[in-house]
Amino acid sequence: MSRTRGPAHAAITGCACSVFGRESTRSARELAADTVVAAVADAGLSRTDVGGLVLARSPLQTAADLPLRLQADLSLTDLGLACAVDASGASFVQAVQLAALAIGAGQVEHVVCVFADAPLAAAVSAQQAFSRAMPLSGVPGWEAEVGLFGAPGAFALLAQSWLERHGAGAEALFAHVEATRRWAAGNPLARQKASLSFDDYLASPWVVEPLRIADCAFPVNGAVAIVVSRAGRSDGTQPPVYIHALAQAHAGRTTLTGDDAERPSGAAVAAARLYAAAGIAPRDVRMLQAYDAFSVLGLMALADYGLVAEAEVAAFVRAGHTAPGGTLPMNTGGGHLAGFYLQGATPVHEAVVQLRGQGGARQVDLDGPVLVTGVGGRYEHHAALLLGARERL
Amino acid sequence: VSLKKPAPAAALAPSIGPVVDGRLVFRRCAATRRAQAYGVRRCDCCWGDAFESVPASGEAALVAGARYGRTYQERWPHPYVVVVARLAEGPEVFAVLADGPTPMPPRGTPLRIEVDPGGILRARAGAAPDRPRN
Repeated sequence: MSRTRGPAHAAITGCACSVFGRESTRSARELAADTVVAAVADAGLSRTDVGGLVLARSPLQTAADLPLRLQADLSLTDLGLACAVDASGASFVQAVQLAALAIGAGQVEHVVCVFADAPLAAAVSAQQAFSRAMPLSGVPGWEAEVGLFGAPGAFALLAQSWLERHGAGAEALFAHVEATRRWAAGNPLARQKASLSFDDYLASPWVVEPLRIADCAFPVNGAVAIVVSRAGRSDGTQPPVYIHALAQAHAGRTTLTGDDAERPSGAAVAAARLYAAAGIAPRDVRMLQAYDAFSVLGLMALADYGLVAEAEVAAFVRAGHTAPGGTLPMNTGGGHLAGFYLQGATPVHEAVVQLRGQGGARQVDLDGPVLVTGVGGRYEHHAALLLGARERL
Repeated sequence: VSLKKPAPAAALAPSIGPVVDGRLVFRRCAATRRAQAYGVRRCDCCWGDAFESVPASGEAALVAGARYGRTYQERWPHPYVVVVARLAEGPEVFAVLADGPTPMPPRGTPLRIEVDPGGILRARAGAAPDRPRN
């Protein structure tokens, strides 16, 4: 690993999450406000220390659901940065990146990034909340016209293609699902802690073949907020989590199959940029917190970020390398499948927990580098962070 | 994951969509003659915005398919199969697999893409029609 890079100039100093649930008790705006206050307190800061506010909006929401007016709700005044990011599942990682960049430019000293979503209610199931057709083609209404509803439909196309290209079957997807269940068992916040046998997995109902319910994220209502500060500027009691590198890639097209015509993927491009920025190689990564709203995305992240040769991904996961005790711990809170689905906030939150050493039963002994990824749209938008517990990689 | 509210049907967006006057078309740049993906507003080569809609042969190959195991909307009761197919002319289309649900055909399976009376694209698996000889 290269040691030539300088110290990180920004760090995550505060982190908080709301109570998660599937009942509609509070709006996204209310959840966001309370969680921002908690994150600022976690950082040992006060209201007047906050210099920036970045919202990561859920694509399920309108701007009115989580408006920039949140600043006024919170009585935050004289901000040097206030904006919202609209890159779907990549938004929260991008929000943290934007905060770090603004700090690096001298624009602000402390920025709060928040994601909040409340799509579920007693009368609104997860299926209903996520049933809208994804705009894949750019032709308004085409997807709904052929019955291509919901994110699972869109990602099932990708999963089918991935399995066929690798000669893999249900056992490959199951291996990732099972690993996340094992991690979730040690996470008090996780929603799917029960162990899962292969027979159990096969009995899980189809959503859109080849994706079963067990292959799909577990959505919740909730919020996560992160405080990013200039390194060395936090007086809080929490250990800082340093931001060593960041990268994005946006291919400008949806990824329908991941085949040769769609390569390199945005994730692979983001990976190359990230490692170059950090001066490290993929083999130096000690932990992966990946956006895995569908099981196939977890497998794809391993290959696209250069951590495992593509042809070996299925065998790598089946061998337990990403599970507790494995060589490359991945989605240690259970990720989106077994932990909770708060889009890009889920992997960032778990990375902070691990690098602070607050993972309890699931804690991994490491100080970095931890790779965090976000995926937006139909594998269109990619954002990644390299985090560590030490000021230098 | 991006989940925007659906907009009007593809048939209502003939300038960028796959159906014009009930016929399957593909779009190409008027300047470079290159076939363009549906939905784009600028040529991927010259960046021009003049497009022409050209009748497509309907010949295609299966890229990927997904079989619905639950019903999202009443007018689409499961099971049914949605496919992505690559037209012989290059662009990719979304279509419903006609005569489904059948066993999922493998990637590369020849498909015939048709426009039904409702303007919906349907894909039929099977051998491609004979090409006219020169």
